[in-house]
Amino acid sequence: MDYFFKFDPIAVHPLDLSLILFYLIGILIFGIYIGRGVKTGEDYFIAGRSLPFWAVGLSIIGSNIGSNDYVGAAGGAYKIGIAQANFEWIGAIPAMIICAFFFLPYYWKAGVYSIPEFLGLRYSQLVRVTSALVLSLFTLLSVGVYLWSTAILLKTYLGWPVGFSILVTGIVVGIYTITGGLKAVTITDTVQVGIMFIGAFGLAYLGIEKSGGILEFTNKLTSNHPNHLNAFLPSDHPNFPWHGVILGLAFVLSPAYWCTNQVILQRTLGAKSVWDSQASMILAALGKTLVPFLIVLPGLLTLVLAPKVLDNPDESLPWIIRNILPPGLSGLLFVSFIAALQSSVDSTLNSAATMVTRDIIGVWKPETRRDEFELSAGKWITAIGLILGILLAPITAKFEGIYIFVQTVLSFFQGPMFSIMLFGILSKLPTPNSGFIALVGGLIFSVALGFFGVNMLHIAFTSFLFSTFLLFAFSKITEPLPNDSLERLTYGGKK
Amino acid sequence: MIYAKISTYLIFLFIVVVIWYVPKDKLYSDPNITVLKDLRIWATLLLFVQSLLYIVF
Repeated sequence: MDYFFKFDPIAVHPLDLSLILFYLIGILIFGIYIGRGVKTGEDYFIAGRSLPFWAVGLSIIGSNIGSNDYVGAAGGAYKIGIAQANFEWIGAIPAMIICAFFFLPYYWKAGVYSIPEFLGLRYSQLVRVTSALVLSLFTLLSVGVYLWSTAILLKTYLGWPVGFSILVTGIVVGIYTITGGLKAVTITDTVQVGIMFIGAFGLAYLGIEKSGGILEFTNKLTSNHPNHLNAFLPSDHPNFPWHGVILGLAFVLSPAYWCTNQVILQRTLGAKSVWDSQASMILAALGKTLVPFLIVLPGLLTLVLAPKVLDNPDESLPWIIRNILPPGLSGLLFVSFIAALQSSVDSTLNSAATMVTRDIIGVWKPETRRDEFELSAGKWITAIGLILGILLAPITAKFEGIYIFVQTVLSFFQGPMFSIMLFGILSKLPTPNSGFIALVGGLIFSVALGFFGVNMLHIAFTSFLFSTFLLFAFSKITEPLPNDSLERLTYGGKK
Repeated sequence: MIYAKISTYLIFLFIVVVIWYVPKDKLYSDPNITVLKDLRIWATLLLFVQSLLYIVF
Protein backbone atom coordinates (compact mmCIF):
# COMPACT_ATOMS: atom_id res chain seq x y z
CA MET A 1 0.00 0.00 0.00
CA ASP A 2 3.05 2.25 0.48
CA TYR A 3 3.24 2.30 -3.32
CA PHE A 4 0.02 4.35 -3.38
CA PHE A 5 -0.31 6.08 -0.02
CA LYS A 6 3.10 6.64 1.61
CA PHE A 7 3.81 10.36 1.16
CA ASP A 8 7.41 11.17 2.11
CA PRO A 9 7.80 14.18 4.41
CA ILE A 10 9.57 16.39 1.84
CA ALA A 11 9.08 20.10 2.37
CA VAL A 12 7.30 21.50 -0.66
CA HIS A 13 6.59 25.19 -0.75
CA PRO A 14 2.81 25.80 -0.68
CA LEU A 15 3.13 27.98 -3.78
CA ASP A 16 4.71 25.09 -5.75
CA LEU A 17 2.07 22.63 -4.55
CA SER A 18 -0.75 25.04 -5.41
CA LEU A 19 0.64 25.51 -8.93
CA ILE A 20 0.77 21.76 -9.51
CA LEU A 21 -2.77 21.16 -8.25
CA PHE A 22 -4.09 24.16 -10.17
CA TYR A 23 -2.48 22.84 -13.36
CA LEU A 24 -3.81 19.28 -12.95
CA ILE A 25 -7.39 20.43 -12.35
CA GLY A 26 -7.20 23.19 -14.96
CA ILE A 27 -5.86 21.01 -17.78
CA LEU A 28 -8.49 18.36 -17.05
CA ILE A 29 -11.37 20.84 -17.30
CA PHE A 30 -9.84 22.54 -20.34
CA GLY A 31 -9.26 19.21 -22.13
CA ILE A 32 -12.83 18.04 -21.53
CA TYR A 33 -14.19 21.43 -22.71
CA ILE A 34 -12.11 21.41 -25.92
CA GLY A 35 -12.93 17.80 -26.72
CA ARG A 36 -16.72 18.11 -26.51
CA GLY A 37 -18.69 17.51 -29.70
CA VAL A 38 -16.74 14.51 -30.99
CA LYS A 39 -19.29 12.55 -33.00
CA THR A 40 -17.45 10.55 -35.66
CA GLY A 41 -14.29 8.52 -36.10
CA GLU A 42 -12.89 11.35 -38.23
CA ASP A 43 -13.50 13.82 -35.36
CA TYR A 44 -11.85 11.48 -32.92
CA PHE A 45 -8.77 10.39 -34.86
CA ILE A 46 -7.96 13.46 -37.00
CA ALA A 47 -10.03 16.20 -35.31
CA GLY A 48 -12.38 16.44 -38.31
CA ARG A 49 -9.47 18.03 -40.20
CA SER A 50 -10.06 21.33 -38.48
CA LEU A 51 -6.77 22.19 -36.76
CA PRO A 52 -4.88 25.44 -37.48
CA PHE A 53 -1.13 25.32 -38.17
CA TRP A 54 -0.04 26.99 -34.91
CA ALA A 55 -1.86 24.43 -32.77
CA VAL A 56 -0.48 21.52 -34.77
CA GLY A 57 3.05 22.99 -34.72
CA LEU A 58 3.10 23.47 -30.95
CA SER A 59 1.55 20.04 -30.47
CA ILE A 60 4.35 18.48 -32.53
CA ILE A 61 6.92 19.97 -30.15
CA GLY A 62 4.94 18.81 -27.11
CA SER A 63 4.60 15.28 -28.44
CA ASN A 64 8.29 15.18 -29.29
CA ILE A 65 9.64 16.27 -25.89
CA GLY A 66 8.88 13.87 -23.06
CA SER A 67 9.68 14.39 -19.40
CA ASN A 68 12.47 11.83 -19.72
CA ASP A 69 13.99 13.96 -22.51
CA TYR A 70 14.33 16.82 -20.03
CA VAL A 71 16.36 14.66 -17.69
CA GLY A 72 18.22 12.67 -20.36
CA ALA A 73 19.21 15.66 -22.53
CA ALA A 74 20.47 17.65 -19.52
CA GLY A 75 22.44 14.58 -18.41
CA GLY A 76 23.80 14.14 -21.95
CA ALA A 77 24.88 17.79 -22.09
CA TYR A 78 26.59 17.41 -18.70
CA LYS A 79 28.59 14.50 -20.17
CA ILE A 80 29.29 15.49 -23.79
CA GLY A 81 28.37 19.19 -23.96
CA ILE A 82 26.53 21.06 -26.68
CA ALA A 83 26.97 18.07 -29.05
CA GLN A 84 23.78 16.82 -27.36
CA ALA A 85 21.96 19.59 -29.26
CA ASN A 86 22.60 17.75 -32.55
CA PHE A 87 19.51 15.69 -31.78
CA GLU A 88 17.46 18.90 -32.00
CA TRP A 89 19.37 20.69 -34.80
CA ILE A 90 21.07 18.69 -37.56
CA GLY A 91 19.22 15.63 -36.24
CA ALA A 92 15.77 17.20 -36.68
CA ILE A 93 15.45 20.45 -38.60
CA PRO A 94 16.58 19.37 -42.11
CA ALA A 95 14.31 16.33 -41.86
CA MET A 96 11.38 18.44 -40.68
CA ILE A 97 11.76 20.77 -43.67
CA ILE A 98 11.96 17.83 -46.07
CA CYS A 99 8.89 16.33 -44.41
CA ALA A 100 6.95 19.60 -44.76
CA PHE A 101 7.61 19.95 -48.48
CA PHE A 102 7.89 16.40 -49.78
CA PHE A 103 5.93 14.07 -47.48
CA LEU A 104 3.08 15.93 -45.79
CA PRO A 105 1.31 17.02 -49.01
CA TYR A 106 1.05 13.36 -50.10
CA TYR A 107 -0.12 12.14 -46.70
CA TRP A 108 -2.72 14.89 -46.32
CA LYS A 109 -4.07 14.63 -49.87
CA ALA A 110 -4.31 10.82 -49.63
CA GLY A 111 -6.93 11.40 -46.90
CA VAL A 112 -5.37 8.81 -44.59
CA TYR A 113 -5.62 8.70 -40.79
CA SER A 114 -2.22 7.13 -40.25
CA ILE A 115 1.18 6.49 -41.80
CA PRO A 116 0.63 2.70 -41.99
CA GLU A 117 -2.61 3.46 -43.88
CA PHE A 118 -0.59 5.44 -46.44
CA LEU A 119 1.81 2.49 -46.76
CA GLY A 120 -1.23 0.27 -47.29
CA LEU A 121 -2.36 2.44 -50.22
CA ARG A 122 1.13 2.74 -51.71
CA TYR A 123 2.16 -0.90 -51.21
CA SER A 124 -0.15 -3.49 -49.66
CA GLN A 125 -2.25 -4.31 -46.61
CA LEU A 126 0.56 -6.63 -45.44
CA VAL A 127 2.99 -3.69 -45.24
CA ARG A 128 0.28 -1.64 -43.49
CA VAL A 129 -0.39 -4.24 -40.80
CA THR A 130 3.30 -5.07 -40.25
CA SER A 131 4.26 -1.42 -39.71
CA ALA A 132 1.16 -0.77 -37.56
CA LEU A 133 1.98 -3.76 -35.31
CA VAL A 134 5.58 -2.67 -34.66
CA LEU A 135 4.67 0.99 -34.12
CA SER A 136 1.67 0.22 -31.86
CA LEU A 137 3.70 -2.13 -29.66
CA PHE A 138 6.38 0.51 -29.24
CA THR A 139 3.94 3.33 -28.52
CA LEU A 140 2.05 1.34 -25.89
CA LEU A 141 5.25 0.42 -24.06
CA SER A 142 6.32 4.07 -24.24
CA VAL A 143 3.27 5.08 -22.18
CA GLY A 144 4.49 2.92 -19.29
CA VAL A 145 7.98 4.38 -19.47
CA TYR A 146 6.72 7.98 -19.62
CA LEU A 147 4.47 7.45 -16.59
CA TRP A 148 7.19 5.74 -14.57
CA SER A 149 9.93 8.31 -15.24
CA THR A 150 7.69 11.21 -14.23
CA ALA A 151 6.46 9.38 -11.13
CA ILE A 152 10.06 8.91 -10.01
CA LEU A 153 10.69 12.64 -10.39
CA LEU A 154 7.56 13.49 -8.41
CA LYS A 155 8.52 11.03 -5.69
CA THR A 156 12.04 12.45 -5.40
CA TYR A 157 11.08 16.11 -5.29
CA LEU A 158 7.54 16.21 -3.95
CA GLY A 159 7.52 13.02 -1.91
CA TRP A 160 4.46 11.66 -3.72
CA PRO A 161 4.19 7.84 -3.78
CA VAL A 162 4.99 6.35 -7.20
CA GLY A 163 1.63 4.60 -7.61
CA PHE A 164 -0.27 7.74 -6.62
CA SER A 165 1.70 9.88 -9.11
CA ILE A 166 1.14 7.40 -11.95
CA LEU A 167 -2.59 7.21 -11.21
CA VAL A 168 -3.13 10.96 -10.91
CA THR A 169 -1.18 11.96 -14.03
CA GLY A 170 -2.54 8.96 -15.98
CA ILE A 171 -6.17 9.58 -15.03
CA VAL A 172 -6.04 13.31 -15.80
CA VAL A 173 -4.51 12.75 -19.24
CA GLY A 174 -6.69 9.69 -19.85
CA ILE A 175 -10.02 11.42 -19.27
CA TYR A 176 -9.58 14.16 -21.84
CA THR A 177 -7.76 11.92 -24.35
CA ILE A 178 -10.46 9.24 -24.19
CA THR A 179 -13.35 11.67 -24.45
CA GLY A 180 -11.91 14.34 -26.74
CA GLY A 181 -9.59 12.52 -29.16
CA LEU A 182 -7.05 14.37 -31.28
CA LYS A 183 -8.58 17.84 -30.92
CA ALA A 184 -8.39 17.75 -27.12
CA VAL A 185 -4.90 16.29 -27.34
CA THR A 186 -3.62 18.96 -29.73
CA ILE A 187 -5.10 22.00 -28.02
CA THR A 188 -4.02 20.89 -24.53
CA ASP A 189 -0.55 20.24 -25.99
CA THR A 190 -0.30 23.91 -26.98
CA VAL A 191 -0.95 24.97 -23.36
CA GLN A 192 1.52 22.39 -22.11
CA VAL A 193 4.25 23.53 -24.52
CA GLY A 194 3.69 27.14 -23.39
CA ILE A 195 4.22 26.08 -19.78
CA MET A 196 7.31 24.05 -20.71
CA PHE A 197 8.91 27.02 -22.48
CA ILE A 198 8.11 29.51 -19.68
CA GLY A 199 9.54 27.16 -17.02
CA ALA A 200 12.67 26.38 -19.01
CA PHE A 201 13.36 29.99 -20.02
CA GLY A 202 13.07 31.00 -16.37
CA LEU A 203 15.57 28.31 -15.44
CA ALA A 204 17.99 29.36 -18.22
CA TYR A 205 17.78 33.04 -17.24
CA LEU A 206 18.36 32.47 -13.53
CA GLY A 207 21.10 29.91 -14.15
CA ILE A 208 23.06 32.21 -16.43
CA GLU A 209 22.58 35.14 -14.06
CA LYS A 210 23.90 33.02 -11.20
CA SER A 211 26.93 32.07 -13.33
CA GLY A 212 27.79 35.76 -13.73
CA GLY A 213 26.39 36.36 -17.21
CA ILE A 214 26.81 34.67 -20.58
CA LEU A 215 30.52 35.49 -21.06
CA GLU A 216 31.47 34.39 -17.57
CA PHE A 217 29.41 31.23 -18.04
CA THR A 218 31.17 30.28 -21.31
CA ASN A 219 34.60 31.12 -19.87
CA LYS A 220 34.05 28.94 -16.80
CA LEU A 221 32.65 26.12 -18.94
CA THR A 222 35.42 26.04 -21.55
CA SER A 223 38.25 26.47 -19.06
CA ASN A 224 37.43 23.14 -17.43
CA HIS A 225 35.72 21.40 -20.36
CA PRO A 226 37.25 22.74 -23.58
CA ASN A 227 35.17 20.51 -25.89
CA HIS A 228 31.80 21.17 -24.27
CA LEU A 229 30.94 23.97 -26.69
CA ASN A 230 31.89 21.95 -29.79
CA ALA A 231 28.87 20.69 -31.71
CA PHE A 232 30.75 17.70 -33.16
CA LEU A 233 32.79 15.07 -31.37
CA PRO A 234 35.88 13.27 -32.76
CA SER A 235 35.48 10.33 -35.12
CA ASP A 236 36.74 7.91 -32.45
CA HIS A 237 34.10 8.94 -29.89
CA PRO A 238 32.42 5.69 -28.69
CA ASN A 239 28.80 6.90 -28.83
CA PHE A 240 28.56 10.00 -31.02
CA PRO A 241 31.31 10.05 -33.66
CA TRP A 242 30.65 12.95 -36.04
CA HIS A 243 30.30 10.73 -39.12
CA GLY A 244 27.71 8.62 -37.30
CA VAL A 245 25.82 11.80 -36.44
CA ILE A 246 25.84 12.96 -40.07
CA LEU A 247 25.24 9.62 -41.83
CA GLY A 248 23.11 7.79 -39.27
CA LEU A 249 21.28 10.59 -37.47
CA ALA A 250 20.93 13.32 -40.10
CA PHE A 251 20.47 11.11 -43.15
CA VAL A 252 18.41 8.22 -41.80
CA LEU A 253 17.22 8.18 -38.17
CA SER A 254 16.03 11.76 -38.17
CA PRO A 255 14.16 11.66 -41.52
CA ALA A 256 12.75 8.27 -40.55
CA TYR A 257 11.45 9.71 -37.29
CA TRP A 258 10.11 13.01 -38.64
CA CYS A 259 8.73 11.69 -41.92
CA THR A 260 7.21 8.39 -40.77
CA ASN A 261 6.43 8.58 -37.03
CA GLN A 262 2.72 8.23 -36.45
CA VAL A 263 2.74 9.92 -33.02
CA ILE A 264 4.26 13.05 -34.54
CA LEU A 265 2.44 13.09 -37.85
CA GLN A 266 -1.11 12.28 -36.74
CA ARG A 267 -1.84 15.91 -35.81
CA THR A 268 -0.59 17.11 -39.23
CA LEU A 269 -3.20 14.84 -40.83
CA GLY A 270 -5.81 16.70 -38.77
CA ALA A 271 -4.72 20.12 -40.10
CA LYS A 272 -7.44 22.07 -41.89
CA SER A 273 -5.51 22.37 -45.18
CA VAL A 274 -2.38 21.06 -46.86
CA TRP A 275 -0.72 24.43 -46.24
CA ASP A 276 -1.61 24.33 -42.51
CA SER A 277 -0.12 20.86 -42.32
CA GLN A 278 3.12 22.02 -43.99
CA ALA A 279 3.33 25.29 -42.02
CA SER A 280 2.86 23.41 -38.75
CA MET A 281 6.02 21.41 -39.39
CA ILE A 282 8.03 24.53 -40.25
CA LEU A 283 6.76 26.20 -37.06
CA ALA A 284 7.75 23.11 -35.07
CA ALA A 285 11.22 23.26 -36.68
CA LEU A 286 11.53 26.86 -35.48
CA GLY A 287 10.64 25.64 -31.99
CA LYS A 288 13.23 22.88 -32.22
CA THR A 289 15.92 25.51 -32.80
CA LEU A 290 15.16 26.82 -29.31
CA VAL A 291 14.66 23.47 -27.59
CA PRO A 292 18.40 22.90 -26.75
CA PHE A 293 18.34 26.10 -24.72
CA LEU A 294 15.58 24.51 -22.67
CA ILE A 295 16.73 20.92 -22.25
CA VAL A 296 20.49 21.01 -22.97
CA LEU A 297 21.50 24.27 -21.29
CA PRO A 298 20.54 23.08 -17.76
CA GLY A 299 23.17 20.31 -18.04
CA LEU A 300 25.87 22.87 -18.95
CA LEU A 301 24.74 25.23 -16.18
CA THR A 302 25.03 22.45 -13.61
CA LEU A 303 28.55 21.74 -14.82
CA VAL A 304 29.49 25.36 -14.07
CA LEU A 305 27.48 25.90 -10.90
CA ALA A 306 27.72 22.58 -9.03
CA PRO A 307 30.62 22.67 -6.54
CA LYS A 308 31.57 19.03 -7.19
CA VAL A 309 31.21 16.48 -9.98
CA LEU A 310 27.87 14.65 -9.90
CA ASP A 311 27.99 10.85 -9.68
CA ASN A 312 25.11 10.48 -12.13
CA PRO A 313 24.88 13.03 -14.99
CA ASP A 314 21.08 12.55 -15.06
CA GLU A 315 21.01 14.25 -11.66
CA SER A 316 22.04 17.53 -13.26
CA LEU A 317 18.55 18.87 -13.91
CA PRO A 318 17.18 17.91 -10.47
CA TRP A 319 20.29 19.49 -8.94
CA ILE A 320 19.74 22.80 -10.65
CA ILE A 321 16.03 22.88 -9.82
CA ARG A 322 16.77 22.25 -6.17
CA ASN A 323 19.62 24.74 -5.92
CA ILE A 324 18.81 27.58 -8.30
CA LEU A 325 15.07 28.04 -8.65
CA PRO A 326 13.00 30.03 -6.15
CA PRO A 327 9.57 28.81 -4.96
CA GLY A 328 7.00 29.38 -7.65
CA LEU A 329 9.44 28.87 -10.50
CA SER A 330 10.43 25.42 -9.25
CA GLY A 331 6.70 24.61 -9.04
CA LEU A 332 6.32 25.84 -12.60
CA LEU A 333 9.14 23.56 -13.69
CA PHE A 334 7.48 20.60 -11.98
CA VAL A 335 4.31 21.53 -13.81
CA SER A 336 6.28 21.61 -17.05
CA PHE A 337 7.56 18.07 -16.31
CA ILE A 338 4.02 16.87 -15.87
CA ALA A 339 2.96 18.82 -18.97
CA ALA A 340 5.77 17.22 -20.98
CA LEU A 341 4.64 13.81 -19.80
CA GLN A 342 1.01 14.45 -20.58
CA SER A 343 1.63 15.92 -24.03
CA SER A 344 3.61 12.80 -24.95
CA VAL A 345 1.23 10.30 -23.35
CA ASP A 346 -1.94 11.78 -24.87
CA SER A 347 -0.39 11.84 -28.36
CA THR A 348 0.95 8.31 -27.98
CA LEU A 349 -2.39 6.92 -26.81
CA ASN A 350 -4.32 8.64 -29.58
CA SER A 351 -2.00 7.41 -32.33
CA ALA A 352 -1.88 3.86 -30.96
CA ALA A 353 -5.71 3.82 -30.86
CA THR A 354 -5.82 4.99 -34.49
CA MET A 355 -3.44 2.30 -35.70
CA VAL A 356 -5.02 -0.53 -33.71
CA THR A 357 -8.58 0.46 -34.71
CA ARG A 358 -8.03 1.17 -38.39
CA ASP A 359 -4.79 -0.50 -39.46
CA ILE A 360 -5.02 -3.74 -37.50
CA ILE A 361 -8.69 -4.43 -36.58
CA GLY A 362 -9.99 -2.62 -39.69
CA VAL A 363 -7.83 -4.73 -42.02
CA TRP A 364 -8.39 -7.95 -40.10
CA LYS A 365 -12.19 -7.46 -39.98
CA PRO A 366 -13.19 -5.08 -42.79
CA GLU A 367 -16.83 -5.12 -41.63
CA THR A 368 -15.75 -2.96 -38.64
CA ARG A 369 -14.94 0.02 -40.86
CA ARG A 370 -18.02 1.93 -39.71
CA ASP A 371 -17.97 5.36 -38.16
CA GLU A 372 -19.80 4.45 -34.96
CA PHE A 373 -17.65 1.34 -34.42
CA GLU A 374 -14.42 3.24 -35.02
CA LEU A 375 -15.41 6.00 -32.59
CA SER A 376 -16.36 3.56 -29.87
CA ALA A 377 -13.37 1.24 -30.53
CA GLY A 378 -11.02 4.24 -30.54
CA LYS A 379 -12.22 5.29 -27.07
CA TRP A 380 -12.01 1.76 -25.70
CA ILE A 381 -8.55 1.15 -27.12
CA THR A 382 -7.32 4.46 -25.73
CA ALA A 383 -8.65 3.46 -22.30
CA ILE A 384 -7.13 -0.03 -22.52
CA GLY A 385 -3.81 1.48 -23.70
CA LEU A 386 -3.77 3.79 -20.70
CA ILE A 387 -4.61 1.00 -18.24
CA LEU A 388 -1.89 -1.18 -19.81
CA GLY A 389 0.54 1.75 -19.54
CA ILE A 390 -0.32 2.24 -15.86
CA LEU A 391 0.10 -1.50 -15.17
CA LEU A 392 3.25 -1.79 -17.30
CA ALA A 393 4.92 1.27 -15.75
CA PRO A 394 6.48 -0.55 -12.77
CA ILE A 395 7.28 -3.57 -14.94
CA THR A 396 9.16 -1.50 -17.54
CA ALA A 397 11.22 -0.10 -14.67
CA LYS A 398 11.98 -3.54 -13.20
CA PHE A 399 12.76 -5.08 -16.58
CA GLU A 400 14.38 -2.12 -18.26
CA GLY A 401 15.72 -4.56 -20.83
CA ILE A 402 12.22 -5.05 -22.30
CA TYR A 403 11.88 -1.40 -23.14
CA ILE A 404 15.43 -1.12 -24.46
CA PHE A 405 14.80 -4.21 -26.59
CA VAL A 406 11.64 -2.76 -28.13
CA GLN A 407 13.30 0.62 -28.60
CA THR A 408 16.22 -1.10 -30.32
CA VAL A 409 13.85 -3.00 -32.62
CA LEU A 410 12.19 0.30 -33.49
CA SER A 411 15.58 1.79 -34.40
CA PHE A 412 16.28 -1.29 -36.52
CA PHE A 413 12.93 -0.67 -38.18
CA GLN A 414 13.51 2.99 -39.01
CA GLY A 415 16.06 2.64 -41.83
CA PRO A 416 13.88 0.16 -43.80
CA MET A 417 10.68 2.12 -43.01
CA PHE A 418 12.18 5.36 -44.26
CA SER A 419 13.51 3.67 -47.39
CA ILE A 420 10.13 2.31 -48.48
CA MET A 421 8.38 5.57 -47.64
CA LEU A 422 10.91 7.83 -49.36
CA PHE A 423 11.18 5.83 -52.57
CA GLY A 424 7.51 4.91 -52.49
CA ILE A 425 6.72 8.62 -52.82
CA LEU A 426 9.58 9.59 -55.14
CA SER A 427 9.23 6.71 -57.60
CA LYS A 428 6.51 4.55 -59.12
CA LEU A 429 8.90 1.60 -59.52
CA PRO A 430 8.59 -0.07 -56.05
CA THR A 431 5.90 -2.77 -56.02
CA PRO A 432 3.73 -4.12 -53.17
CA ASN A 433 5.90 -7.22 -52.75
CA SER A 434 9.21 -5.40 -53.06
CA GLY A 435 7.99 -3.00 -50.33
CA PHE A 436 7.25 -5.87 -47.95
CA ILE A 437 10.55 -7.63 -48.75
CA ALA A 438 12.51 -4.39 -48.23
CA LEU A 439 10.76 -3.75 -44.89
CA VAL A 440 11.25 -7.23 -43.44
CA GLY A 441 14.62 -7.89 -45.13
CA GLY A 442 15.98 -4.57 -43.87
CA LEU A 443 14.78 -5.35 -40.35
CA ILE A 444 16.53 -8.74 -40.38
CA PHE A 445 19.70 -7.10 -41.75
CA SER A 446 19.62 -4.51 -38.94
CA VAL A 447 19.18 -7.19 -36.29
CA ALA A 448 22.16 -9.09 -37.73
CA LEU A 449 24.34 -5.96 -37.59
CA GLY A 450 23.14 -5.28 -34.05
CA PHE A 451 24.12 -8.84 -33.11
CA PHE A 452 27.69 -8.09 -34.24
CA GLY A 453 27.80 -4.95 -32.10
CA VAL A 454 27.77 -2.37 -34.89
CA ASN A 455 27.09 1.23 -33.73
CA MET A 456 23.36 2.06 -33.86
CA LEU A 457 23.90 5.17 -36.00
CA HIS A 458 25.79 3.10 -38.59
CA ILE A 459 23.14 0.36 -38.52
CA ALA A 460 20.51 2.94 -39.44
CA PHE A 461 22.46 4.10 -42.48
CA THR A 462 23.46 0.68 -43.80
CA SER A 463 20.01 -0.87 -43.26
CA PHE A 464 18.53 2.05 -45.20
CA LEU A 465 20.92 1.32 -48.10
CA PHE A 466 20.24 -2.43 -47.92
CA SER A 467 16.45 -1.95 -47.91
CA THR A 468 16.71 0.44 -50.84
CA PHE A 469 18.68 -2.18 -52.76
CA LEU A 470 16.03 -4.84 -51.99
CA LEU A 471 13.21 -2.43 -52.85
CA PHE A 472 14.48 -1.75 -56.36
CA ALA A 473 15.96 -5.21 -57.02
CA PHE A 474 12.67 -6.99 -56.28
CA SER A 475 10.60 -4.35 -58.04
CA LYS A 476 12.08 -5.70 -61.30
CA ILE A 477 10.63 -9.16 -60.78
CA THR A 478 7.37 -8.51 -58.93
CA GLU A 479 3.99 -7.21 -60.06
CA PRO A 480 3.58 -3.39 -59.84
CA LEU A 481 0.40 -1.56 -58.83
CA PRO A 482 -1.67 -0.11 -61.68
CA ASN A 483 -0.42 3.34 -62.66
CA ASP A 484 -3.80 4.97 -61.88
CA SER A 485 -3.73 4.00 -58.21
CA LEU A 486 -0.30 5.64 -57.78
CA GLU A 487 -1.22 9.00 -59.28
CA ARG A 488 -2.03 10.80 -56.01
CA LEU A 489 0.55 8.95 -53.95
CA THR A 490 3.78 9.57 -55.82
CA TYR A 491 5.86 12.55 -56.90
CA GLY A 492 5.09 13.56 -60.48
CA GLY A 493 1.55 12.21 -60.31
CA LYS A 494 -1.63 14.25 -60.72
CA LYS A 495 -2.31 16.80 -57.98
CA MET B 1 35.94 18.23 -37.20
CA ILE B 2 36.03 20.52 -40.19
CA TYR B 3 34.53 17.72 -42.32
CA ALA B 4 31.57 17.52 -39.96
CA LYS B 5 30.90 21.26 -40.39
CA ILE B 6 31.32 21.07 -44.16
CA SER B 7 28.90 18.11 -44.31
CA THR B 8 26.39 20.04 -42.22
CA TYR B 9 26.52 23.10 -44.47
CA LEU B 10 26.25 20.87 -47.55
CA ILE B 11 23.07 19.31 -46.12
CA PHE B 12 21.60 22.77 -45.49
CA LEU B 13 22.62 23.96 -48.96
CA PHE B 14 21.16 20.83 -50.58
CA ILE B 15 17.80 21.43 -48.89
CA VAL B 16 17.71 25.10 -49.90
CA VAL B 17 18.54 24.22 -53.51
CA VAL B 18 15.93 21.45 -53.63
CA ILE B 19 13.05 23.49 -52.19
CA TRP B 20 13.74 26.40 -54.55
CA TYR B 21 14.48 24.20 -57.58
CA VAL B 22 11.34 22.06 -57.44
CA PRO B 23 8.43 23.79 -59.23
CA LYS B 24 6.12 25.68 -56.88
CA ASP B 25 3.06 23.72 -57.99
CA LYS B 26 4.72 20.50 -56.78
CA LEU B 27 5.18 21.96 -53.30
CA TYR B 28 1.85 23.67 -52.71
CA SER B 29 -1.77 22.99 -53.56
CA ASP B 30 -2.15 26.67 -54.42
CA PRO B 31 0.88 27.90 -56.39
CA ASN B 32 -0.37 31.53 -56.17
CA ILE B 33 0.62 31.68 -52.55
CA THR B 34 1.52 35.05 -50.93
CA VAL B 35 5.10 35.87 -49.96
CA LEU B 36 4.24 35.70 -46.27
CA LYS B 37 2.75 32.23 -46.68
CA ASP B 38 5.56 30.97 -48.92
CA LEU B 39 7.12 28.42 -46.59
CA ARG B 40 10.28 28.21 -48.70
CA ILE B 41 11.26 31.65 -47.39
CA TRP B 42 10.69 30.62 -43.76
CA ALA B 43 12.57 27.34 -44.26
CA THR B 44 15.53 29.17 -45.81
CA LEU B 45 15.63 31.64 -42.91
CA LEU B 46 15.51 28.77 -40.47
CA LEU B 47 18.45 27.05 -42.15
CA PHE B 48 20.35 30.36 -42.12
CA VAL B 49 19.86 30.57 -38.35
CA GLN B 50 21.00 26.96 -38.06
CA SER B 51 24.14 27.79 -40.06
CA LEU B 52 24.93 30.61 -37.63
CA LEU B 53 24.52 28.25 -34.69
CA TYR B 54 26.95 25.78 -36.27
CA ILE B 55 29.43 28.62 -36.87
CA VAL B 56 29.23 29.54 -33.16
CA PHE B 57 29.46 25.95 -31.93
